[in-house]
Amino acid sequence: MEKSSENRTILDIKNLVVRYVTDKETVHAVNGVSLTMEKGEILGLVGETGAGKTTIAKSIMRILPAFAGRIEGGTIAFNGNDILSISEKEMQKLRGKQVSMIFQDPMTALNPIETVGDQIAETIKLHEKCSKGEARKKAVEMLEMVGIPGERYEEFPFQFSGGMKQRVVIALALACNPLLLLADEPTTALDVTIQAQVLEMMRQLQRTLGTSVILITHDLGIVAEMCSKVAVVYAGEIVESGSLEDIFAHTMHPYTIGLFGSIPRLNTEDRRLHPIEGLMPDPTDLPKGCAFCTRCQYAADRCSSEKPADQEVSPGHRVRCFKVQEGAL
Amino acid sequence: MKKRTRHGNSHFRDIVHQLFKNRLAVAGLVIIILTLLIAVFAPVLAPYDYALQDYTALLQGPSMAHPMGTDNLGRDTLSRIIYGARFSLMISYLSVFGSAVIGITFGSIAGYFGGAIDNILMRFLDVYQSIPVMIVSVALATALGPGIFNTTIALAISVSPFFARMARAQVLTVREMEYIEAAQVINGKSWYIILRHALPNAFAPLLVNITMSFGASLLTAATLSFVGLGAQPPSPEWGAMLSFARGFIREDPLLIVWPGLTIMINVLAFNLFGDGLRDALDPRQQK
Amino acid sequence: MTELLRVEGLKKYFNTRRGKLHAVDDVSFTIEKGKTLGVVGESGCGKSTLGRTIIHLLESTDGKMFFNGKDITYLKGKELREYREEAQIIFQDPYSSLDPRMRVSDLIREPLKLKGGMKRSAIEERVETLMETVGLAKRLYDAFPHELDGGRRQRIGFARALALEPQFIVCDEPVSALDVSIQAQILNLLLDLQEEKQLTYLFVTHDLSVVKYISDDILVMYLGQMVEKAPSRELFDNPCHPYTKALLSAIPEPDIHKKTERIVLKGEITSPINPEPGCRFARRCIYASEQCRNPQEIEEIQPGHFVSCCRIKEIN
Repeated sequence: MEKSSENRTILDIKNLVVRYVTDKETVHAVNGVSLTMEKGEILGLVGETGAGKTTIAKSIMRILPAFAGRIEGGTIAFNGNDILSISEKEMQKLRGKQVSMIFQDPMTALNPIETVGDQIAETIKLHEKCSKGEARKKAVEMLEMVGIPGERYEEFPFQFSGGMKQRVVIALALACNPLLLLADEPTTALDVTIQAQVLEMMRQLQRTLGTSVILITHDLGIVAEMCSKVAVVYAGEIVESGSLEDIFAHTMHPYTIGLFGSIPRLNTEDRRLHPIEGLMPDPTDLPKGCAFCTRCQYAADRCSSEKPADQEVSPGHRVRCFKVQEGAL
Repeated sequence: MKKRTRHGNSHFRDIVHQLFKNRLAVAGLVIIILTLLIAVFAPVLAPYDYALQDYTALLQGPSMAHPMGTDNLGRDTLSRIIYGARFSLMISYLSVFGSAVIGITFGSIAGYFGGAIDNILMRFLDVYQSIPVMIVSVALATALGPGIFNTTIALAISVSPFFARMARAQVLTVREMEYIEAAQVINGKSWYIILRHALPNAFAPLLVNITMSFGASLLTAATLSFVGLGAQPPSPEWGAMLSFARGFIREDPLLIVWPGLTIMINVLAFNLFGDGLRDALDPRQQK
Repeated sequence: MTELLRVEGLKKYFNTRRGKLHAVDDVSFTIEKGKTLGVVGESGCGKSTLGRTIIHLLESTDGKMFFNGKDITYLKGKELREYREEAQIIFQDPYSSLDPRMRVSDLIREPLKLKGGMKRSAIEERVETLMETVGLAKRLYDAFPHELDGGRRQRIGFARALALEPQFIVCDEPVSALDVSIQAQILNLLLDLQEEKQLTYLFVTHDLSVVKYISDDILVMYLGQMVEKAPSRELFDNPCHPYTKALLSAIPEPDIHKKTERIVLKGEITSPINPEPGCRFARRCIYASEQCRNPQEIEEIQPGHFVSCCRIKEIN
């Protein structure tokens, strides 16, 4: 029993705390995030700019900016190994091979003066220890898998459009058939029709390869379409998490409710949105209690003085809110 | 209600803070200020008049009476260096301000309007800049005749294309910003937009180059004086002193060392300060 | 209903090294007073160029524009200044559209000062009213834009646009740089102001859910051309052009029970430089045929519903 569950868990983050420290200030980017993921799942990490989504992903990759980013606490177990305690050399072996990341801007991930095919082949050669010819053959396969004809192997990144570039980046990330893919807003820079193509492709690839994916996005529409599990991030904390059904049909946390109220819907005739008033708290100066209490319409005295714990309200559905836990919502 | 106190611009404070963390830049600034003070208070500080000739003490080495010695006419070298700050700094400051005004005016017009105006101005500069600055200055100084005022004008004109190019490049970048369009739609006239929006936002990199140019122009002015086209005797301009001392390099080598050292220290000071300013203004330097 | 803006066959071409870029190619529409026309399309379809041409930040290549019945195709000097007191624009990027060296109050004061003829005390009073109108707290009077978040910066943009009391505002992707919760605040503000001041908007965006929410009519553009125009509800209930259909089906909806039939397009947007005379969407269109190579006519298939597709009858 114990063994099988361990085998199925691909990622287990416990109490992760990340800060950015400069001479001027300390940014509390991630404040006690716990997250578990099973193999083959697509987990949506939802939240607004500055909520800490990207920092969580960068911590898993261990690519936080060296001068300021500090993991102050917690553990990250990837496929049973504690990533935070292994050496940088061992981490390099994991990165790209077992866990890879896609960024919002495809241009930053591609070398502008090397052909796209060679870039993919190089990654394969680095991790798989195969011959040049084999790597090349595999790179062509990868390109074709993401819907780019193999003949474009010799082309340079600037010869590709935005959507095509993002496909190349995905091919690059999947080249070594990683166990976990971290996709940070992979389609935000793309047009809707192109986004639809890329998402469709990602979904198919995920099904065939069985890769686990963390999809970071601010778009609840994409989450509804792609993910099986969702975690809502606010001011460096996961305020609500659960299955897609839990989050979309049994929304509990006032912030998640607020997020849904903010999006203009296609299928309603309502001419008013219900925005969340106010702004996200300053991450250098977070409130003592619940991070959302400054904007929450249900906030009571207790909310601003005490931090609510993360509690399971139904199997797998966790909420961090006193009001929900008290049954008032 | 009427008057609101305007607390300092935090961005500006950041820059100053960054600048003062850089010790070399502060050293440069201190030297610049000291030299300025020396120039201003020259009559008080100098032990003798710069033109006073003492035939009992010709080409003397350093002594209590003359800490830097005297020249072949018995003039006190220290006093001449002190008074020289007035002449040298005046040429350098005025010529840089002159060239900055001329250059930035034409450069920002070219950058803002673009098109034909830009093309004509820039092609003219292409031709102009194919001639070395030194030759242009020498030619201008020769045509205008020697003298401090003419040297200043010659320098101002010959360096201005450099500023024009810089200003044009900066204004071109700023011109792409949406706030320029935002100023157009509220009926801002072109000259207003250039002065109020384009230039202030393009100014930071220009400022670094202006600072650096003080050193360069000090050097060019000295060179002009050295070849006899700058300050005329008995004006104790540093370059002129250098040129004058050259004749006595065997008899009294120290005579050429003093003005040379002074020029070197001052050029260095401007460059250190300019470097520091650039680092402070460049946001990539800041963590 | 009175018509405020009429645009007829508007064209805007740019000269590029590779040829003529047809940014806006033969676009016609009218907007009635107090209404909102949404212009949607993907990047490079010419929607922003359209807004900028109408506001005279760019000069049109061909076509005619009428504002309150007056020909505004060519404007200069005093006429242009007068037009801009009536027609304003809000920019997409709240970070680059405000001069970083000016304080909030200076930014809002600027249009009033440039207009002239107002007493200092009157200007001050107006600045404070404007700040209140757009929901900027008084304590931000002396703040610099870089100290504020995107939403507040965009409010400054509104205050500037409203300062001259225009009738018409081009909103060029005013919320696309903002987070959803802030986006909703700004969209509500836009609607409130419209109601209060009888404003007319041309709302340019790539976000279809936003455009549906805010617009009375919607114009869909593809590579500089108008492919479909219809009242908002009609367009969403009954999209006729194959591109509009694909575009609508591509929006990921935050609804787990609704399963939309997605039309996934093949290929990418082609270049708008020296385009072929026929339908520009034909290369990605599943219904494309030989006749799509000919120039397309705009047809009114229902009152107010215009489509530019020769195969419309066969498709629908």
